[in-house]
Amino acid sequence: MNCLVIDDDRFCSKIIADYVSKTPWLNLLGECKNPIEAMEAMSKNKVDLLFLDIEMPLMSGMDFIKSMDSLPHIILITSHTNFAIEAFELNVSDYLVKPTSYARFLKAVNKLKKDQTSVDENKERDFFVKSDGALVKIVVDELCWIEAKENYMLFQTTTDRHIVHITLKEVESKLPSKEFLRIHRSFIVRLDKIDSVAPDSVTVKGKELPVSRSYKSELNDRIKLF
Amino acid sequence: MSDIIDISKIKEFTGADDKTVALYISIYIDQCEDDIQQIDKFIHNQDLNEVIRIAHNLKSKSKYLGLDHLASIGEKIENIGLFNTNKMDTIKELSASFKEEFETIKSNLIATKNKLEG
Repeated sequence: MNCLVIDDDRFCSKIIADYVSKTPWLNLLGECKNPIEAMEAMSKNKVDLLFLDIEMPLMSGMDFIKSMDSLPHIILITSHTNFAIEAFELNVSDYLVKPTSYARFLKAVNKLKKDQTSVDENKERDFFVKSDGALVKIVVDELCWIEAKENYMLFQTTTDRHIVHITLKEVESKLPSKEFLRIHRSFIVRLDKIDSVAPDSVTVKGKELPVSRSYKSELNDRIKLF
Repeated sequence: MSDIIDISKIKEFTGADDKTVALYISIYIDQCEDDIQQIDKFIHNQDLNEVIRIAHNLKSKSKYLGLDHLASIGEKIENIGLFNTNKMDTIKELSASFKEEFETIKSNLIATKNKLEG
């Protein structure tokens, strides 16, 4: 991630710049003394993350956030403690109070990295299918079950159902195997959408889906039983 | 002469090595000297916003090195600037107090820095 440190105090800026430099997945593009310098740097480079002070000449960090239509991720690093609520309302990723330890800094950037990875994974997981002559996006997290009919599949999501000409095997190859399970020759179900389990069926969104004897044991292994 | 700052604590806090901590001390001394000059200038010009900003910065960087007394003077200047009326005389006294305290510990900081640089 390309980063800028924005702080009018050279000492504080240097400490955070050093934190960035020794964190492997962060790349320090530079240090800026105020938001105006930062805007110039952002116009020349792709910036993913700002470490932003609040109390600065020309423009405060808070005014800078409010003035921009689109900004990269922001981690505020400040001695002020009273802007936290407003800052989180402005969608900052984290709010660190000076003096900031490297451990606290790492916690903030690790969380951001984790969130980012999760967003990226979700982007890759989702896929398009041809349904009624149009390409429809299947958001994997919204998928409840897939039912094989005679010569098509029925994709049931939390809000819609789509008829798709595809084989169950092809569907299985597109789905994250940790989250879905074949429970019948005609049904694949998303495990976290199951509301209840009976001896020969599961209920998802009020619909009872059959469970074949051959898939029962795996289903029992995969659901969390307390 | 014992160090006025706790080197091992700063190293643990920042994850820095000896040479980097020496560099931090060096920047701290340079910056404090600049800030003290600037704050005098802004007191003279009655520019309260800039006085508050610099006092705020003096507080922040002093805290990083565990110089709590200096940090507290910086904080007092900042708070008086923000919340009190008839402020400049008190701020002037506090600023002088910061300068005096800083000059007292400066030689100790330089000795620590030299030791860390080997």
